[in-house]
Amino acid sequence: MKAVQLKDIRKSYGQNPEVLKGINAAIEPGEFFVLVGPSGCGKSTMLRIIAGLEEVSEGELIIGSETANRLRPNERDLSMVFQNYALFPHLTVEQNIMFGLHVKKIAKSEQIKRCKEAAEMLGISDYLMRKPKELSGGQRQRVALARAIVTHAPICLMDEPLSNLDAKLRARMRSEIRQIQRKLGITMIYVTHDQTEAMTMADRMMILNHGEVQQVGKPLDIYNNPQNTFVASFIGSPPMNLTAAHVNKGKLQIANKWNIKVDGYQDGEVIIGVRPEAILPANEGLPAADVKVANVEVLGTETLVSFELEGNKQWIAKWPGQWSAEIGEILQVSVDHNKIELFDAVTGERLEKTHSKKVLEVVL
Amino acid sequence: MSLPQAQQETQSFVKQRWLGNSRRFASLLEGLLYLLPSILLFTVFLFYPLMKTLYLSFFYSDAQGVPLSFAGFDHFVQLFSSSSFMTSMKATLLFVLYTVPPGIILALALALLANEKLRGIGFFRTIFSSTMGMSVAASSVIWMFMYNPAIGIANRFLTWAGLSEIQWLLDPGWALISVSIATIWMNTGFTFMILLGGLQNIDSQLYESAKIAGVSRFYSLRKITLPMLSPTLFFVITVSMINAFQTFGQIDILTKGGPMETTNVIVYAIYKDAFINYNVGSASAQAVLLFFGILIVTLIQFKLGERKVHYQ
Ligand SMILES: Nc1ncnc2c1ncn2[C@@H]1O[C@H](COP(=O)(O)OP(=O)(O)O)[C@@H](O)[C@H]1O
Ligand SMILES: [Mg+2]
Repeated sequence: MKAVQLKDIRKSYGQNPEVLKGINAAIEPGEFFVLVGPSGCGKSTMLRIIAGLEEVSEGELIIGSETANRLRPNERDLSMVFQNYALFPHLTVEQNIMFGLHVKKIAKSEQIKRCKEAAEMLGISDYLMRKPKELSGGQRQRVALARAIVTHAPICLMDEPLSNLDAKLRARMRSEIRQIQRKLGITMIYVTHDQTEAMTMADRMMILNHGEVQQVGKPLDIYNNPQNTFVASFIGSPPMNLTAAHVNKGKLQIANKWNIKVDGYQDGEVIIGVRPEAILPANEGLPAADVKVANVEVLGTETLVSFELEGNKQWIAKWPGQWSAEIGEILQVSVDHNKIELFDAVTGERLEKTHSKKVLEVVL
Repeated sequence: MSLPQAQQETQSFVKQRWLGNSRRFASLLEGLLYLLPSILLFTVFLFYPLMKTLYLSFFYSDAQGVPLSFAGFDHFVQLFSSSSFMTSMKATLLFVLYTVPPGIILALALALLANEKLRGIGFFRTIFSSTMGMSVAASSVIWMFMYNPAIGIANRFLTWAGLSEIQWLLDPGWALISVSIATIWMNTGFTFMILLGGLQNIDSQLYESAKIAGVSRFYSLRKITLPMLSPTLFFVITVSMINAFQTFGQIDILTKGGPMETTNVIVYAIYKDAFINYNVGSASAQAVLLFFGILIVTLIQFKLGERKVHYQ
């Protein structure tokens, strides 16, 4: 199992502006590392650079302990699963899985053994003689995975491998891929635009936007301590509620509804962020404000309530259980002050809470 | 259910059937109306001449092509015992052999080159496909000058290389080869374009996957490119074969079927029989044989193609 290190990696295509603007990361051996970000942010470019399918414009790529900038793709000891699977339509599943193994000087009998193992692991043993077009999307996906597994490469790269599957299958493949990775102990670098995938699969993840690293860390750390407003709104479903607010003499007001006492913050503009689950239905003890319900989505185990904040702006609250609120109804809700995040209004950077800087309480 | 009601239902059922039939008939008529222009064109320029040729091949006719008396299979029997027809068959088959495989291999090589992502490759793509824009007549005249024994560049090149000169179009041993070279040149543009299009349709991720696996370029070519290109190759081979069987223009301009009938391919032989020797019956019989010859070759190709061609 090998580590991968990116040192100030930059990439531009021809004369166009940079697509990657100085990426730094250290991916541990055996780690499930997820690269996540919106479409067009440079995820695929970065993965292709690691694979050796694109050249680095500037910076250093280290695989294992050697500089890999100039290594050819097959010298990098890795396997890759493509978004559209890249299966050879004219070859059978078995031939697809074993494609190229002869280059690695693996004996034919060993090739067949590995193919059988991989097929068994993925439950496609019955389809080995079929052509890819005779398979469903999910089965094709499994063939692509099997092809990555048989190489026994210590590093595996995946570029949005689940995006062509339906939601149910996607959830299943998520856990299957994760289990296989754990079992084989390979280093996985996994690209997705889906924050749920990132949150559920990653040991650590990197959030990318416009070719710049926004935050790297464990999923829960990122969820609980988003470094900036982009991360706050990208991670979490529904995303963190954000709105502009004004600090005035240790007091902060959210849309004329809740007044919040803060300590240590300078007067001026901030952005205030509250996770949907930190907005609570009123109960005794917490000061509550009246809000008008705009929409209700009951999901079975939880309920999403959208309410009007000010103007056209809406916030979403997530409550456990099934709530039957009417549209237009006035509800009393309160905000958990421990879970309020403050961001700089100009840079969007998180304003770290310290012992001298804190959110004290919500008052009315 | 009362009787009148049942009667009514039967009636309406009959009516519906009738309506259904008439509606189907109306839609058939509508469809035919849409097809009318092409049916007309095909009838005038294809079906009628085809039938007429078949008809004429069974008759003795006068110099104007007016049928005089029924000949049965006389023309066909005569053809198969005529040495001139055999020469013409041989010339045709050799011409197909000389032009189709080398032409396609050349165009494929050029297309593979032009498909590389290199600087200024667009220029070469244009050059390689440029012969498509030239008429057979114009190209033939150019080649005639190049083959000219006295002033042609072909012989000058040979002299420069220290070889002896060749009577390109006059030497029976060389004439068919010379015409074939010119023909390959004329057809390369079209074949190249189609093959390049086919190459560009191949998903680049397949090659990337192969790159990561580390297989050699030749292995990629054999195991990815050629199978993925097989439908296009099949199309190009079929069209080239049919074209080669029907070659006329360059023969007429470069050799007129000579020397010693070595380039007298079948379409040229038909032309000479019909319009120079005024033997319309025999010419028609040859045309019918050519038609069935091409039909059989094409059918065989499709049969073989089924096994070797991988459609997506
Ligand atoms: N071959 C290329 N030539 C020029 N620009 C490219 C090329 N590939 C990607 N880009 C650009 O790089 C940016 C990032 O692309 P990509 O890495 O594919 O994004 P993602 O995978 O995150 O959706 C995009 O703006 C895209 O237009
Ligand atoms: Mg992508």
